[in-house]
Amino acid sequence: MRTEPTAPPALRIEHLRKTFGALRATDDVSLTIERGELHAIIGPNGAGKSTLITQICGELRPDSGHIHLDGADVTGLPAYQRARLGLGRSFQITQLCGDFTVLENVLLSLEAKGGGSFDVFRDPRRNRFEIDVAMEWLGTVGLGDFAERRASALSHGERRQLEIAVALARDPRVLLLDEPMAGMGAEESARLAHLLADLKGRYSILLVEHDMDAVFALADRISVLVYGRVVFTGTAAEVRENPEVKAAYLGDWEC
Amino acid sequence: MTASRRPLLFTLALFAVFATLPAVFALTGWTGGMGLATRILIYATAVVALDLIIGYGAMVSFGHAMFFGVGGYAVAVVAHHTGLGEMPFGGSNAALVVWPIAIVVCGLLGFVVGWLALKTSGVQFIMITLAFAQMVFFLLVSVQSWGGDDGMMIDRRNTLPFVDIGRPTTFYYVCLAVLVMWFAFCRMLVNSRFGLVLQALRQSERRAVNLGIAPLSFRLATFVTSAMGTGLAGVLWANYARFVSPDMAAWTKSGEFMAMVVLGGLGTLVGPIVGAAAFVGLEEVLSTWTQHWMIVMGPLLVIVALYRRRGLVGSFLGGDRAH
Repeated sequence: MRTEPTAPPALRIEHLRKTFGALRATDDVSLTIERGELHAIIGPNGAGKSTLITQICGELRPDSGHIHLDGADVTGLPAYQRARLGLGRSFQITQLCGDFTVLENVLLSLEAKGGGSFDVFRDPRRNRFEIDVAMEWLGTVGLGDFAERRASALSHGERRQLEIAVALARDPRVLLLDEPMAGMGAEESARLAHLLADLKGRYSILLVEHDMDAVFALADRISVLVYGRVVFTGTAAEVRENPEVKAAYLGDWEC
Repeated sequence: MTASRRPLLFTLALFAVFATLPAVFALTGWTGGMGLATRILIYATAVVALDLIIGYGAMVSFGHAMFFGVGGYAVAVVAHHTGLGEMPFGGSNAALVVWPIAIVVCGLLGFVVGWLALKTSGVQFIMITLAFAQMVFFLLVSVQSWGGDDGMMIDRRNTLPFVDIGRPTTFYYVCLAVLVMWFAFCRMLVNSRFGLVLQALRQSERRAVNLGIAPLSFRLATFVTSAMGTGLAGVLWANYARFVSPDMAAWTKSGEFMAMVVLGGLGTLVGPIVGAAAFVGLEEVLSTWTQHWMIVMGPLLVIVALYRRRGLVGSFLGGDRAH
């Protein structure tokens, strides 16, 4: 699903650097996510995957380097503006509104897309159009029957599914998924992998994930992050065969 | 959508009880009842406003009495200078002129205080709101032409078209109408599109920001709204007592407001009305026994805080939702 080469990539990261004291958490990282591409980032614990994600979404300022969203430089923009420009994300540790129902969590996503409304007269829970959109996504992630349940009453796997629905409902230009399968059971993981396969091509996705089976099955390209550096970027087959990557650490993962 | 109807029914029943109280007082011949009930309504207006920011916005203001005081002083000051012929356009004693002025002044003060306080959160937020309230308090104490320590007397209540709020019963019903409208507005607000964002910020600011929400504007708008509602209560108080003093803005008053909110049920809007009634009612009863009525009230607050985390009515209202 790559579009014509003249279109800017959905996300382009150039020479991003971030250090904490002596630790180079992000060390000259450059990578692109083409439109419709599912780009996975793998790497051992402490490789700087989460630090990279927080810089992309704007919670953390890089020391140097640039981040382009759809061709526009967003490096200096705060997180909420990047979100409005179409950056959607799920969190490694789920960030949901526990007192809200499942449906309200998705409605919030739709409401917040334009920065939120100062309308104090209308109840979003009566907005037929938004409810339809939200219910469709809840159905897609498999939470259709739980719309009226409080988010805090969901199981771990269900919370992860809701995270995905919240991120997807607003039709993001780029979707950052930070270990969406972490802590999921086999059945839930399989369902999510199925969903991601379904979304593939329609969304530009950056996937950080430890589940190697899923990554190798889903990703168009994989970047391998070690000690803050991208040591290799290529297709699943290329990554598997690359001696450098193998030597670096793939052996540990019994792939 | 499928939210329990209980809170709404409870609220309607509560307002119905308030509506019948004057008749009850007339029948029983309890002369003090009217004043007591009026005070409850006025405090209830203030603490519903406070619940809006604490219970729904997670902004713990420990200086809300400043808006109560400023609202009251606005009425007294306008009356004072109108009496001296010093007001532009000859001044006014009409509620429809004076009350909006008072509310706007409180809104402006709320904007400044909120904007500065919202640069922080948690304990710092509490401290900044308290500090501003103390500044207002000492300002009121030090302005001699406005009575300083002694406060100011107000010759007569503001005037409303068609009704004579000089009559205690009429004034009571005006206070009840104000409370009902203010409550209805707050309830609409928390259930609105705006309220959805506000409550999301309370539960997970990180989530909200990553969805596109700039927190400050929503919190500040709520803080200003709350300041205006509390100012309105101050306006009513000045008209009720026909007297204002710096004590209206004292930090102990802020503490009482907070106690009423917690006593009734944080984040329920209707709970604080019950809290105000319980607090003011108990104060009335206990203070006839001893002037150290806090000796009884204090342990009571501790018990409620420990064993009824959601206040006197929170758990009765059902659901775990703040509604």
